Amino acid sequence: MGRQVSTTEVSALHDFCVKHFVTHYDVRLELVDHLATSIEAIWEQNPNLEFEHALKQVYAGYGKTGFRQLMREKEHAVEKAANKGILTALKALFSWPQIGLVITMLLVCYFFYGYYERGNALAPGIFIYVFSCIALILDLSINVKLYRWRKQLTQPLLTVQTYAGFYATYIINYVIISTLLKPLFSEQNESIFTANPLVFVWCALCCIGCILLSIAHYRYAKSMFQKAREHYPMAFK
Amino acid sequence: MRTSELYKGSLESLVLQLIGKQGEMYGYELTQRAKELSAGNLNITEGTLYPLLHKLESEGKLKSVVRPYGNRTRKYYSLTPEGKHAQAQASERIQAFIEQLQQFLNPKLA
Repeated sequence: MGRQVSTTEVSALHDFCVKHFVTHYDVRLELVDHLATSIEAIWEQNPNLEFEHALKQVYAGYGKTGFRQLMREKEHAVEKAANKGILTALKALFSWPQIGLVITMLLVCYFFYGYYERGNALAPGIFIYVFSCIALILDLSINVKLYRWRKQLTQPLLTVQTYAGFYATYIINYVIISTLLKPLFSEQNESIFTANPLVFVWCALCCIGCILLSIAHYRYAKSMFQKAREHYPMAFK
Repeated sequence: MRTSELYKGSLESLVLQLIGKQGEMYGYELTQRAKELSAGNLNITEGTLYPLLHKLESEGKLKSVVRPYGNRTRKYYSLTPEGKHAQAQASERIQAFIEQLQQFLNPKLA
């Protein structure tokens, strides 16, 4: 076995990566090993070459842009992986026994839709109001959990930080409550909601979509954090 | 056309083949093995290799394990059952492609 990269030199490699904008621990860990192995390969040919010179030689191999290209590609791959992971989690909701939840939500919505035939739009109105609030509370609690998980990090991780979370529920909830339902509870008791049952269908589908997406995001985020904890225990408290 | 360009479209399959044959490999080892087997024609840069490994991992074809190596940490990649299936399929596709190329290069023999 030839000359090996020392512990101090490994630390120097970490600092070098940070200096060159590779701040994420998960990317840095692999890159440091790659750089160290490349330096050791150079030392096999030239054992007396100084560490700094060997590192310069290795870094030159990354071209003018240095680690930027690597980071860009990695960020792109992580983003794609996150989208795919959420889609997989969403697809999993449409298989037994989870599909039971979807069917139950659809049946409840259908039950309240029946009130229109009896000329009562207030009951479906209140239902949608409660339903959208449930979606909002669910999404809020998931984001609080995500925040707590992120707080446990001592080192930034690209896989975790690229994931932004799910916030569409807030917008949909705002639209439903402020634009569509507010007039329903006003003195005139008239709104677009009473005039057109299709608005109810639209609101109900939006709420179901938000709940399903929130659950998919939660499942993806949970597995992502578990995996990150397994792979990089040093990056967690 | 350079030989390295001929490898471009098959990079994913080649990475799966290499890891499948070895059982477990780390990034640097993959680049060196590829270089060695292609007589220096296939130079996989880090900017290409690591995102590809990450992609294959997220697709469930590769699994990784991080283990200490001396005074640093090393990430090893190995094939999942799905990856083994993809490797077998890739191997068949490459084989068929080579045979088709033979027909272009040497129509009489084919």
